[in-house]
Amino acid sequence: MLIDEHLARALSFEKSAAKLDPVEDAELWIVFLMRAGTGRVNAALHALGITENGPVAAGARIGDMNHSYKPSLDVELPEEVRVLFRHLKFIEDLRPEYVRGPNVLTPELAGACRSAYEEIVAGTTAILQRRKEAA
Amino acid sequence: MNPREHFDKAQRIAAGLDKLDVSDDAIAIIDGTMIAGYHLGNALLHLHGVTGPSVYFNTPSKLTVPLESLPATVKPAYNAFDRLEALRTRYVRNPHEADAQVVLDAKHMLEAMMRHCGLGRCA
Repeated sequence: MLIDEHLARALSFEKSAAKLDPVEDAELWIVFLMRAGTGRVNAALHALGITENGPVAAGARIGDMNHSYKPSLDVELPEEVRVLFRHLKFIEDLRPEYVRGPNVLTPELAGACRSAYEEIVAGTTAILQRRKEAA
Repeated sequence: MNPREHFDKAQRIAAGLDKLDVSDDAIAIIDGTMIAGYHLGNALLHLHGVTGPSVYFNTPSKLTVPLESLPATVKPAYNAFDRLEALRTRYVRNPHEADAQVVLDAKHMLEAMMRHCGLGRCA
């Protein structure tokens, strides 16, 4: 997908997440923030030239990431990207217990999840802004 | 998780989906039906002895048993789950625009899964 398509999807998931209660609707809220975060990270990776912006042929360079760990990126990543992946992984790692598992999200964990997401927004916005200024 | 816990989670998720708008939240609803479907699919697998309570499958495509070989009591729900996964691939993971009808179809498939679980619509 293209940078603008990733960002449009991220915004759409953000708007949907905002209609939910982070604790009462934790299963959906976590996944929507993860999707929005993944979209923003994909846009940043494309902007940095680490992954391909747009459709890719089978066997070609990696296009879009589905998760922070999939597909595997066999390149040295800059620190600002490693930070983004750490925050995204924090959100992803809530799924086994709180989305697919039986546990109920606490307000404290919801706050930590929101903070991780805000870090993704800040980090990816900075990368995309730099690209815009350089263009 | 046991079937009851999966059912309860699925109903919580369905209640959350009802807070969203079929036009404005199209891709989120499609994605959310898969999450509820995950719980219903695994509940059925546990209930009918296909898997134990500690074994689960995230999606129909990750199921290690062919769909055709599932018990007749599980197959219709899993077919609906399979169609939900196809919608997620097309509309969540790829840049296709989902209209309200596609979203309603996704919600109907989730309701069909619930009926096959004996839940009616959040009964």
